[in-house]
Amino acid sequence: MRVLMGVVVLGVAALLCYGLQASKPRPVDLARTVPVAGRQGETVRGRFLAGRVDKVEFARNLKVPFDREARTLTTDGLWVVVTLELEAMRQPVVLYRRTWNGPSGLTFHESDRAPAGLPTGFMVGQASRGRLVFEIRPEAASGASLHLSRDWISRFDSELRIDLDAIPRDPAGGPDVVDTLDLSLGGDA
Amino acid sequence: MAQISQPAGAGERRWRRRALLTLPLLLPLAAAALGANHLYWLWHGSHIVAREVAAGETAVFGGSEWTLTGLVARPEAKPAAVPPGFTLLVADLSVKVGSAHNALKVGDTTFEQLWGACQVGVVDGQGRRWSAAKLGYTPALYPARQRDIATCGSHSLSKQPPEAVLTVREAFLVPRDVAPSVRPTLSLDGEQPYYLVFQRR
Repeated sequence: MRVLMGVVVLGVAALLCYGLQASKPRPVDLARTVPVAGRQGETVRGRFLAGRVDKVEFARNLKVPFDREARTLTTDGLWVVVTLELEAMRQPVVLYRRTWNGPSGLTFHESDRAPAGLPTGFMVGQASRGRLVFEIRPEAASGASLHLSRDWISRFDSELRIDLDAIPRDPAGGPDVVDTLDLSLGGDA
Repeated sequence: MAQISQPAGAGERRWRRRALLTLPLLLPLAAAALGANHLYWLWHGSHIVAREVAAGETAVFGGSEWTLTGLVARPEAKPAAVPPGFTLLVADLSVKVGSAHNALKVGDTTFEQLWGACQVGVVDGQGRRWSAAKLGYTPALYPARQRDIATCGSHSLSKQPPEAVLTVREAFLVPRDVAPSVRPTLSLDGEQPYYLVFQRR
């Protein structure tokens, strides 16, 4: 009887531990940067940084400047070019983590094949406009959000999470993908 | 097995109860002990508490004596680096290096310890901050012949002798409208959480 009681107590404890592990936020979730949600087209204000996504464009090929000539980058997935404006609000801000988060939770970092079009450092009083380029899987195009933070783990900092709900759409409702997007002309960025 | 399944004696039961009762005491204590280090670095790892320095006054900070000697806009020093609507503000601090490190060995000086992560910044009335601009080679501000004029970070590595009088010169890109009102700040590793805020003349 005592042995049976021991087994029961152990089982209950194991269930409790599993429940805690499965349902409670992890310590890293409690201590991480605070998400600040916003939508495409509006200015989203975090603790130190304000940002606005103006435009999202999809393309199969990307024409980029390379050593005084244009080079075309192809992909099996999709190129996304996000045009945005950022400004530091209180103190100099650096932004290293700029990710495209698909609806299934797939996270894409900035492409290192395309040239970076947005600085990492921002200062108060000067709005910086630029482009972020991602190479994503086609199914991550709709219902995605853009996450911007220093490094997602800095305490007392915030992470901008901008829902990209105003992407260009084709008549069928899917993302409107152009064949070639030319970044070598400078665009409006 | 027979021994294990014997009912616990009175002494064992008493100690079991004592152990259980101490848990509510021990768990918070353990949490506090683990968190104390975080709190220490939260306090000593960032500049939080401002110390005002009146115009023209000298403040002892990081074992040295600091005076604000100049704060002027000099956009002509590096026009290419100045964005529209901004100006280049140049702050000069006069420093007399303390002699506290006389007794210490070379390479083990309080000078290096206290001046580590030397940060000069400017702050405006609303608490907005700007850190020193990265200008690269700027002979107009840092003439090659005047070795005593350099940025704070550069001086902090230069193993200056005690009692040496140096000029710490830092340049800031700030919006033109706040340039007349911003005040320089100084933060050193060895003095955190305190930092100096210099009043302008």
